[in-house]
Parts: sequence; structure tokens; C-alpha cells
Amino acid sequence: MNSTKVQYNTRLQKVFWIFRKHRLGLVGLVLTILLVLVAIMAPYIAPYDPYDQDIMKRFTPPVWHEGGSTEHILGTDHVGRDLLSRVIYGARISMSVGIFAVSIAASIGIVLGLLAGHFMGTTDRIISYFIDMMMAFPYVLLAMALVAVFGASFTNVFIVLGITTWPIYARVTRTEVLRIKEMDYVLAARAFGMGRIKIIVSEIFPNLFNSIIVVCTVQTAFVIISESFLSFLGLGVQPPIPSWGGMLSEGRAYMLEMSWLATIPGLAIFFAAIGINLLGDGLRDFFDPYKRKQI
Amino acid sequence: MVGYFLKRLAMLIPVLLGISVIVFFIMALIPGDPAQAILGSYATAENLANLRADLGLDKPVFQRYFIWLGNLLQGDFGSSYTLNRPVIDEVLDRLGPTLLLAGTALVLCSIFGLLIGVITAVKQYGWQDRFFTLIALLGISTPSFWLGLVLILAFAVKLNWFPVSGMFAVYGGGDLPDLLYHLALPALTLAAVATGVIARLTRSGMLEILRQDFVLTARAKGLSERKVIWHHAFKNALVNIVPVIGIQAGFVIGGAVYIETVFQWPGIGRMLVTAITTRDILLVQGGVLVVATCYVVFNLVADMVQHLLDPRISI
Repeated sequence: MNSTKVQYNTRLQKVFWIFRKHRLGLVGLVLTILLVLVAIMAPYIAPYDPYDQDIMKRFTPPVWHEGGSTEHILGTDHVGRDLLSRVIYGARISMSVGIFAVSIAASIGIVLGLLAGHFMGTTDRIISYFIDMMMAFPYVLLAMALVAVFGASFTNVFIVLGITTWPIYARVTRTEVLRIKEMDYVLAARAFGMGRIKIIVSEIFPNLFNSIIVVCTVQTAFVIISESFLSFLGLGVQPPIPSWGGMLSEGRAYMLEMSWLATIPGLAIFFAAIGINLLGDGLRDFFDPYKRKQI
Repeated sequence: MVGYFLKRLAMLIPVLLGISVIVFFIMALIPGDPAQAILGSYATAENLANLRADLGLDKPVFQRYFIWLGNLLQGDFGSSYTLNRPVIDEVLDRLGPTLLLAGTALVLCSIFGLLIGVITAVKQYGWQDRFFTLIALLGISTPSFWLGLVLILAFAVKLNWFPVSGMFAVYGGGDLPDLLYHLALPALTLAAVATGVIARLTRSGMLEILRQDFVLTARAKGLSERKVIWHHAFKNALVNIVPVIGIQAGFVIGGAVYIETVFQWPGIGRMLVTAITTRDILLVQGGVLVVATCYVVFNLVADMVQHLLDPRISI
């Protein structure tokens, strides 16, 4: 028990050591951890209730603008809600959509990819056909149409984003399985008489981890941007819930005079996406043995 | 060669059929009665029944699919109830602006993406590599609809260099300079994201090629570095980059939905956003089907170009 713990620690230290050399990856790691912390700690760090309206203080500019006050550091929106608090709570929406949608998509994609790659033949042909077909869809439109069918709500958004983005996981998993199953250790397992399902679960699946974790990271950023667009169109998370896309959409109406109302939520989406993408890049380099030697 | 093209073309049919099934059944799932939506809440039961029969809504859903498909094959996409005109006319009117926007963006992102990709690969780990890799990543991480808003704010509102929205000026517009003037900002915004993707893939493709023996041979022969990179390495890397550009063509068309909404560009994306919110089912079905077909065709063209560049590649 003790020895595994020590091993884990050294591995974690190794990750940090490598990330220290990969500076952009480190920036990504820090930004992502920050995002997660903000999302978790929202009730403790937000200065105001994100739903509290104070109509007398509407359109207070951010502190660096003329007329801004330290009372509302990022200013207030069109009904006088504190923008900083809404941005902080918005991180919760984005992170939950990112985590849930990616979990749904990855689960569907990995299972289908494993089946296609391992069993080949007709199973592979059918699954590959579905992958190709789903990939041919303008995915935003599919998501929009599905939201129109099921109704716009927080839960529906991540379900829809989950069931429309699985093909990428399936494709990556399938390619990886095709590669891994030719490896000597899989042949050895087969020679020992291990069953097909057991081989998938104990030999192939653990070795998929590296590629899948990279896809998951990059897709999280993608899903967060997609959610914000759906919410921007009014097809996503519904007001008054503070989602970054929804705030952007509300701010758009006042963009000419009060540009911060649209730029601040946009910057939040941007920093979340860049952080997660940088982390994904770092992980990709970390898992790629050829590049690991160079960093 | 012809055999390959025909085979590839035949593979389109099941994909397009599958897409039509998904498009049809998603829209058929939409709750609510279209007849009621058209006639309003004061319609009599008799009128509703008549309209349902007219629209074919009284038939089972599978039968409706085959009727719809049969009509599609004859070029009849049905009629939009909000616009009161044939779906195909509306879709074709909107397709031009979308293809113009997406095409311009695709040309821009291919040029920038390839250039950046080659530069970063050649100067691997140099400052150029770091700088452009970061820029490419910034592009990928920026929500394009927000970038559009920011660019409008900066270049249209503050600096007044470009128009805020639309495709032509309301008064006195309509000529080519006017179109280009309106096209610049949305095309650049749309290209920004795709440039990052193409640049990254070009970089990794070039790096792989630059490690190969024939590049070493070319250098050993004493060819100029420029010739080695552009004539030998780039040409070979292109084989793997072309399909990526094909996929990007699809993404750019999908991305046009974001950009058209922000810039009020009269394309198919904006039409679909409106059609989805007004539940104009036939218009959505027709529009999505046409966009998906464009996507599939772009990929096909990319595959064919790849095959022309390297005839060894088969299905």
C-alpha cells in the first residue's frame, strides 16, 4: 500500500517536472486549475449574489473605466447585477457542461471505437459508417436542431453536446485499438488464452488512456465554446442563469456604448478555452515519447 | 483513376441517405402540431384536419419519410411556411453568399495556415515556431462569434474601416468593391479559427517529412534550402494536408453559422438559425441537407485531389 503511494507521488512529481519545462503547458495547467477552483469556490469568492438586481446601479462601468467603482470591479449589467459574480458563477456552468458533455461523448465514442477496432468485419463497417455520417453533419446545426426538439435547458445542452460529439472519440479509439492489438503484449495475452472481452478490458483499454485524455481535454474546450454559442443564440442555458454565452448575448445589445458587457464574458470563454487547449498540448507532448525526450 | 473516382462517388450514396434519415426524424420528433402553428390557435378542427391532409401529416411517419425522399430526388424540397416560397429557391438563394463567405475564408486560412505551418516546422523550437504556435492556439481557442463582435467593435464602430454588417450597402451598393468591403471582416473572422488548425497539421506533416532520407539526399546534393523545403518537402507534405483542408472546408461551412449570425450575412447559416427558432421544419430539413451535402462533396474533392497527388492512396 505504502509503496504504491510513493510511486504515485513520484509520478505526479515527474508530471510537474516535465510540465515545468513545457512552459505553455504549465500555463495551461495553472489556468485550468484556476478555472476549476473558481467553479468550485464560486459561492465563497463571488462578492455578490449573481441574481441580485440593483436597478439604480445598472450599467456601472468596470473599475478601470471612468465612473467605475471598486464596489463592482467588473461593473454591472443592464439590470444592475454584478458582472464579476456572474462571470465567477458562469465558470460553474461551463465546467459542468464541459465535464458532463465530454463524459457522455467519450463513453459512447470509446465503447463504439473499441467494438469497431477489436471485432472488425461487419461491426467495424457499421460503426465506421455511423462515424462517417455523423462527421459529415454540420455539428452546430445538429446540436441546434436537437435543442429545438428537446427544448433549451441546462441538462439538454450537455446531453445534446454529448451525443453529437462522440464520433471523434470513436475514430481515435478505433485507430488506437487497431495499433495496440498488434502489439506483442496483446498477442502474448491471446497466446495465454485470455478471452476477447478480458483482452479489451485489461490489455487494450488501459493503453488507450494517453490518446483519449488528450482528445478529452481538447474537446472540453470545444464543448465550452459550443455551449456558449448555443446560449448566445438563446438555445442553450436559459437566463437568468449566468452562462458566459448568455451574458455575451445580453451584452451584445449594449455593445456600442458599453463594450465591457460583451468583451468580459467573451474573455472568460477565451481564457477557459486557451487554458484547457494549452493543457491538452502539454499532455500530448508529455505522452509522446519522441517529444518527451526533447522537453 | 476513373474507377477510384466512381467508387468514391458511390460511397457518397449511403452517407447521404443516412443524413437524410437523421435530418428527417429529428425534425419529425419536434413536439407540437405544424398545422396548428400555421393556422394559429383559433383554427377550426375541420381546417386543421384539411391542412394536415394537405401537408401529409395524417400519414405514418415512415411513409412520410419516403414521400419526402421521393420528392427530394425530384428536386422538390417542399414549401417553407414562414416564407411562403419553395424551400429549394430559398436555400439556393442563400447558398451563394454562404459559399462565397466560406470559400474566401477557406482560401485565406489555407494560405496563412500553410505558410505558418511551413515556417514553424522549418524553424522548429525557434522563436518563430513558438510565436506562431501560440498564435495558432489563440485562434483555435477564440470563440469565433465573440471574435466577430470584437472585430466589429474595433474595426467597424471605433475605426470605421469596415461596415458593421450585411453583404451590400443599402444605398448605392451592389458592385464588387462594395461586396469585398462587406466580405473582409466576416471572412477574416471565419478564417482565424481554421488557420490555426491547418497550421498545426501542416507543421506536424512537414516535421515528419523533413526527417526523411530524401530530404537529406536533396540537401546533400547541394540544393538550396528554399528548393529543399518547397519543392521536395512541402510537395510531399501536401499529400497529407489536402484532406485536412477538405475537412476544414466542412468546418468553415459549419462555422459560417456563427459568423453569419453575428455579421447578419444573408447566408444559409443565418436562415437555419431563424428556421430552427421558428420551427420551419421543411426549411430546416432542406437547409441542413444541402449544407451536409456540400460538406460531403468537399471531402470527396479533397480525397480526389489527394489521389491525384499520390495515386498509391486507395480507399
